[in-house]
Amino acid sequence: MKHVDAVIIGGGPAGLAAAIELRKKGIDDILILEREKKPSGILRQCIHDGFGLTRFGETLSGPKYAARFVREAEALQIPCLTDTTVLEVTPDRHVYASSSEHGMMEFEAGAIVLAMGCRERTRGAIRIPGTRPAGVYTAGVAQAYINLKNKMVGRKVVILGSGDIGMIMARRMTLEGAEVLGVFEVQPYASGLPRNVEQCLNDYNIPLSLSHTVTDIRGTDRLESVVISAFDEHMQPIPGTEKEYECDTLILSVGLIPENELTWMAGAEKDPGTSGAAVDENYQTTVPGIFAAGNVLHVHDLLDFVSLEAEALADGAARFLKEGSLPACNLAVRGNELVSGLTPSRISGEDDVTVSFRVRRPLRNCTIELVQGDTVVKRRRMPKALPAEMIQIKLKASDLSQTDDLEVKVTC
Amino acid sequence: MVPVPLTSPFSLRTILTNGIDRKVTAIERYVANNCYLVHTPAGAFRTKWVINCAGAFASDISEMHGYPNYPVRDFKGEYFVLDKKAGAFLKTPVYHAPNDRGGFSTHATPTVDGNVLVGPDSYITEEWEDYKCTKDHLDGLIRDGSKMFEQMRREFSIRNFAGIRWKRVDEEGNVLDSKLESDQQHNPNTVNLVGIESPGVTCALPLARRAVARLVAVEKPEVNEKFDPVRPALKRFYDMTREEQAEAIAADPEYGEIVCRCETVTRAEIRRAIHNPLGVHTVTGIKNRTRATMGRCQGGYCETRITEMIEQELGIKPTEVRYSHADSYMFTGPVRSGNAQDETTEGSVNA
Repeated sequence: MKHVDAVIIGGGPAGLAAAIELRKKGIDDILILEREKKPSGILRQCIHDGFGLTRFGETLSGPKYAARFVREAEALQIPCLTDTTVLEVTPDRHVYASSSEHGMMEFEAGAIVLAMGCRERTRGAIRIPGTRPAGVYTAGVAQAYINLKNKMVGRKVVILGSGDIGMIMARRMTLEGAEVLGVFEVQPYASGLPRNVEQCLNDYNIPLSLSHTVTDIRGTDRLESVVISAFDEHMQPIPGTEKEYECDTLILSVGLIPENELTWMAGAEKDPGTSGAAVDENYQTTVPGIFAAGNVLHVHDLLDFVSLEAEALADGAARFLKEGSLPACNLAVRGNELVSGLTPSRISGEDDVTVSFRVRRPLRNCTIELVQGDTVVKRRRMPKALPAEMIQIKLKASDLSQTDDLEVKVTC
Repeated sequence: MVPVPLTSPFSLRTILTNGIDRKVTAIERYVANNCYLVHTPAGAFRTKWVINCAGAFASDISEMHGYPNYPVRDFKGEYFVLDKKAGAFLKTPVYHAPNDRGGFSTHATPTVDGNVLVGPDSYITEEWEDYKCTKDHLDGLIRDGSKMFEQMRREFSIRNFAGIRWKRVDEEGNVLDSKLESDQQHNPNTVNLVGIESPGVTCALPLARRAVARLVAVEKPEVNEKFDPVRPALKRFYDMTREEQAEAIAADPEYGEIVCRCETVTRAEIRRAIHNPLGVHTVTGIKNRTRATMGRCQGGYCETRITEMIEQELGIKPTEVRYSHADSYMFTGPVRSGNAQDETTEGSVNA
């Protein structure tokens, strides 16, 4: 067993940013554990551009964005064990990890940063009826095969779900010569960013059908066709609208789920609103010394915010390592019925804090109020708000009270 | 309490997933040599005894070796597989009281691996080998299953599947009992099993003993006292203690590489499954043998690794990799010919 001040689980954008920032704050003994052959996380396969506008003021591809952090981590000589999978995290901050090269390892960590990212929702999770042939891929898996493994997954493609990766894969597969018959979305609005609807679908004449979804999958060996039906406002299929599309590939982009199995093993409490851990303003979970940031905490719209959040986490984690504990955060943060994915769950009222959330449905001319008791701490008018876009509001300690819970009220 | 042999039907299914080129097309009897010739696309097999336990196709085989082609009907049931997290809420099977025909409807069952199965419902299908799931029946499983298992939450859904039992029926369609017969006078050295009633896996061992008894009664073989029927199962990495895991990796470093994150399946275990004497060479075959891709992410993390291992271990091209059945190809070809980026260069800051 080896003691390490800060063990960082995951060498993706969140883990790298947290590690670099921790080192800059004077934490020398850091170890990143990464299950892939190289750090960078999912960015290895995100070869499209559009990353970095907020963080670097320029637009970069995924690998280039990641390379800036990898290079900095290498320059700071932060150790990263790759090909290493963490098997368990305990509440008393022991970490078990295995690799072919180093065998079974046990670390006793001063602090742990959870930066495992998220995984994709699958066909089984949304229980699409039909047969179970080859040719049904989640968008990220198809992206890995095409961009990392040089394997084309199909020629005639239907895309279910208008998540960002689904739309990016619609463009990608079109560019590689596949015929993309359309993108179908069960909601009455696109779930991904407006810029991707424009740049990935409209620019390539790929039709987007809202309030439509796959209601049957056909074919025994390889996918032969899917049936698409129109859905009503109660999310029920409208009889008589079924249309069969011959295709050999179905790509699913139906949501991302924070990958928190290790988090729950460590005994951290869940925030039902985000499906991630409940954290306080320092990104500390309910287990002292265990922190979480990035997509493992809540799924972000833009990569840049993942990096910024992980950098903010380093403040609290470094302070925990130096002082042995962090001040209690006793004020709850709650949202009303139009608010989803609200984080953090608790604040102290004694520190600056950034509150992140999304709206549940597209809204026009809405008002956002952050309220403590009878006091409106911050008010913002938004002409337009979309569920695809994360809203972040910064609050100053000087504006906060230390006695009342914080409520996020969105009205329209 | 009656002891029930507890096993996973998935491990039994493994054998089936690789049997695609062994479909029996004819059975010939050679009286002079007192033997049968069993014909398949992969060649003919000479044997003294034929035991028909062909399940879905048992009636066809039955006719081939001289018994009637018994009418059977497909009784189909659909299922939900729930996350192991749901297993924490269910420690014992939950059944409905039998209905007025004596049958059980949808029930909830914890599996030996820790998942929960909800189902099956039961209905007759007219299509042969109809394994598709349908919205009406899945909705019905949610409705009825939630009464049996109130933690049947949406977030626990991993996968749906359907299974079929072929039951013997009379001319009016009434269900008849399972058939286990041997007719030494007309069809010597055969045992015929048709229309085996549910639960087939549970009954498999007693039925096998009865079938063997027919053979023993004729052949009267000497008992091999030294035969050891116990085959110690390979312990899964997942089931090992940390110390055992450390030892396993020390002995075979590929135990240290976790290929399937959700089910903690190692590279060593998948490599062994591929090269086992009853080796598996499809993604589904590897799933049934090792549980890789069977977890909550359904291969989101490991499928790219598994297809690559199949290519490397068997020396085949990506276009030859199969998901399950003969034509279930996964790749149509390379994205770009020539020097495409691969794992060795991508993500590297020096590339």
